[in-house]
Amino acid sequence: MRSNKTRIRVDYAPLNVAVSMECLTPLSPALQVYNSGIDEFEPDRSLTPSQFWPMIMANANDGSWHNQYANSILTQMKWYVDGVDITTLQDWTNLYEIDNTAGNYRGAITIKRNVLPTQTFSLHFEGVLTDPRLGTQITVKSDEIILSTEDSSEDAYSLSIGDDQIIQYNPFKDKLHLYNYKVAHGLITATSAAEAAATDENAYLRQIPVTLFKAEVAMQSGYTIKLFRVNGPNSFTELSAGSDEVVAITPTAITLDLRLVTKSDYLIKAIITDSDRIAPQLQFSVNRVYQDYNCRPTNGTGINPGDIQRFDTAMCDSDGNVVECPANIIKIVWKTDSATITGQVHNEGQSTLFTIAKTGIGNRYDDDWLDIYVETEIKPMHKYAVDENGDFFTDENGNKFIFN
Amino acid sequence: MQYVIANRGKATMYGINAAGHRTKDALIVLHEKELNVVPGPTLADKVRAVDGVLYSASEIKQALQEGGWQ
Repeated sequence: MRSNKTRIRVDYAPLNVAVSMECLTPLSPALQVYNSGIDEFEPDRSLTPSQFWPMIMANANDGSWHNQYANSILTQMKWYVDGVDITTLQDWTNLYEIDNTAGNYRGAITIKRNVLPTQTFSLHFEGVLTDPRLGTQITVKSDEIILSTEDSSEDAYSLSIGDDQIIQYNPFKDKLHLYNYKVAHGLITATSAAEAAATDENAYLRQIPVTLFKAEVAMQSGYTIKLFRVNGPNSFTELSAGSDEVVAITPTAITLDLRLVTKSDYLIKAIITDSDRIAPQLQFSVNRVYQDYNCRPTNGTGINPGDIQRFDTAMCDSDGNVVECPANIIKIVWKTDSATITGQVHNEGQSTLFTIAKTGIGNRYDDDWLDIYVETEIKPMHKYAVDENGDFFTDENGNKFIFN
Repeated sequence: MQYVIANRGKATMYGINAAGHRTKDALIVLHEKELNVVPGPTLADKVRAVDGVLYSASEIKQALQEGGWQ
């Protein structure tokens, strides 16, 4: 007599499935480049397509699953574009192929479509793995890949300045500043010829040529230039012509008054009229150079008993040359030491005329001496002259006064 | 960007994965950057190494119109 049957099963561990997306054509990746100058995609997917493979890995903890690379048994494979089955999209017809072979790359999609710079497509894969051990079906879904295109011709916009990116201002070499000083002090008569001659590459009035290139062609119009002061890593202040050290901003040049700068970093940005997205930019900086110099009194004559006043003038030299009108750039303070008064301050300037009695000089051998000397420093950057309300002092033409 | 119609066997010999590429019999279409793995000082040398012919984008489009390309 046969007993009742008791059916028992093998108790398989469930399948662990992992999906990762791999680009099988790394040199034809998801990101294309479009060169509108020659109307070409690089690479052109109609010639060298991109291929993406949803790599399906499956295993069971009990070792009962032997098909670790599980693509070959995928069924119900579908690729989606922005969430829509690609087979239903007319504009993708004949522009893709899905690998239906029984091989390891089953499910891979080959894309022959070039994507315009204005387009972006999000693709993902879904398929089904059948687990015959447990009689179950597992839906697998890949991560998304984004197809997009970079417009290289737009990115090829570049800014250039016709100057060093580190501009150094050395007041000792500034002939224009010297010219202004001489005119202001009545040492010479102002002439446009002399002013023009003094305006060279070392002048405080620095015109920095700006050129916007599209690829290798210099643009003549269709953009504006903005100038920013760099305050920190992500902190900028827009500067306009007439404010601070900015004399002028045009599409082809930026003019700065370097007398008003000790050290500053700037960012130039080109705003292209027909594109809000692209803003080629360039950073440059301005530094003031503090050149070594020597300065000393020149009157070596003694004091006659009847002298009441003493005159002296300072001689300054730098880099092997006598500095002309040194008070223009060097703060020269005249001082004397005597037996009774040390550090007596007289005046500031290239020369001095002081009353001898003020120095405390004596009339006996041990106190009838005087040390005359100057204390000097390079003048700092200029600042605008303002009153207590912050209003600018100007001349009759509205030109703002600066001083240092 | 320039393109090359190369010998598929030579290309794979230099490590180029034929997957996803357009092929016809023993030929394969590559772009110039894919030849970086092929030894040779110039692109022309690399093209020769894979028994290839160099084309511009427009030229190769014309060449592929002959048909038979996968």
